[in-house]
Amino acid sequence: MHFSLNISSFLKFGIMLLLVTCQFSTMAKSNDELALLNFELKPVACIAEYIGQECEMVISVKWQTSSPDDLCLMQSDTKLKCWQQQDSVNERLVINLQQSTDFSLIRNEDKKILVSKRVTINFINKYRRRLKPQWSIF
Amino acid sequence: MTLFRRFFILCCAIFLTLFVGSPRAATLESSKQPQLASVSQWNFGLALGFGKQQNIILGQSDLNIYLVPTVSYYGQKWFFDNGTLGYSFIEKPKYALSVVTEINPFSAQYYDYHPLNVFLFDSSVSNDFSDAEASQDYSDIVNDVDAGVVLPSQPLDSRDDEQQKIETNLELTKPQWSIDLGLQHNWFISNRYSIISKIFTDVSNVHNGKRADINFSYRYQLRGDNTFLANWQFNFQFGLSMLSRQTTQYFYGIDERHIHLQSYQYRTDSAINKTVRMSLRKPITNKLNMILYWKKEFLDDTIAHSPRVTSAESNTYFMGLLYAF
Repeated sequence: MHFSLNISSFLKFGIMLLLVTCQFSTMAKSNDELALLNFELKPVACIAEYIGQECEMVISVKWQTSSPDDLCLMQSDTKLKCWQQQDSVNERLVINLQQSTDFSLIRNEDKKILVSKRVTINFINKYRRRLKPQWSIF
Repeated sequence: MTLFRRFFILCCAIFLTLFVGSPRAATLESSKQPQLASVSQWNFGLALGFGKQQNIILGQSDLNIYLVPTVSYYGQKWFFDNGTLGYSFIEKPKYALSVVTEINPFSAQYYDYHPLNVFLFDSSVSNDFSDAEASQDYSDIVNDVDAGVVLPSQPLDSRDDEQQKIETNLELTKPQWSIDLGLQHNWFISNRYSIISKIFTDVSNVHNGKRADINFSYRYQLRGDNTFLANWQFNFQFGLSMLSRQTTQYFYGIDERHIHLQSYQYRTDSAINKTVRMSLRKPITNKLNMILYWKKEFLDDTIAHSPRVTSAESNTYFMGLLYAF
């Protein structure tokens, strides 16, 4: 009987230990998983006068994360700007576009994409690029 | 008027326009960026100056150039640019793909009055265009030993009377105009660099030849505050033109069309011509530009060795003022 009580106590202790371990494990994992609390990128459209015109514009980037980390803003596959150990940023950046492009905020450590936004370029076709070389009549 | 005097007067006119009489108005976008065309708008221009286009065809004289009209129209998809009609079915920031048609440029060398020569007004064109518009009589030329014109495979001193009679009566038919249809790919590498590739076939069933062109272009514009140096636009082009055997034979060969005796015929092969072009353009006012242009074409041996061709190279130059209406 005494032995069985001991076993019961042992089981209870084991279950409690397991629960506590699981809780610690969960907490540790949540520290690893960075949560993006806010992301803004403005404006998301540019107007060009002809197809092929490079659109130079100033964008406003604002983001906030659950904890400080190394993050980068990507323009397609190119790093536009990186920040070290920051959990919030509000900046203005100059960008150049020739076609609609995806901008992504990634975690630098594992290149995980936290969020992605597309900046579109609209052509009003006021002009066209000449398709024949200059003075090709000779 | 001698060439030197013409050149001197033109230089004086350009100098006066540049430094004395030119209002420093803000340049139009079209002047600043000649590589652009306003959509759905005809663009007319007229260049006045002096230039020369060397003609490589035997019996044809060089073309003096005094007036160069230019005309172009760019719609959303259609375009007409100085003799080329096209439809762009794909146009992206980095490239464009178009169906294009134009009059084959090689026949223009044989005619003073050719649709392509409409763009080059020569005030000194002679009125010798009376040869039933289709044939070129070389009877005097082929017998002129001093001129060095010898039909291939037949030494002059071994000609008998019958052969001489054939030579004397030899008439080299002028090529007819032909219409080419093809595809054009424009690769806009950057603002400065671009490559144009074209492939054409004769759709008028005149010679059934094909040709392909590839042209690399580099553009540079000087910036700065200096009134004279600012806004000079420099353009350098290097091109290769590949011609099928049917094309070279039709335009530069001698065959059954001209003479039946095979030993007098000249058979060509496919050819690759190389071209270098350079141009300088200086906006003077919002409508007036100063233009300097130079082109050199290096002909493939199979063309250069043709008895119908007098030179292995062809030079073209022009300097003047371009007014955009």
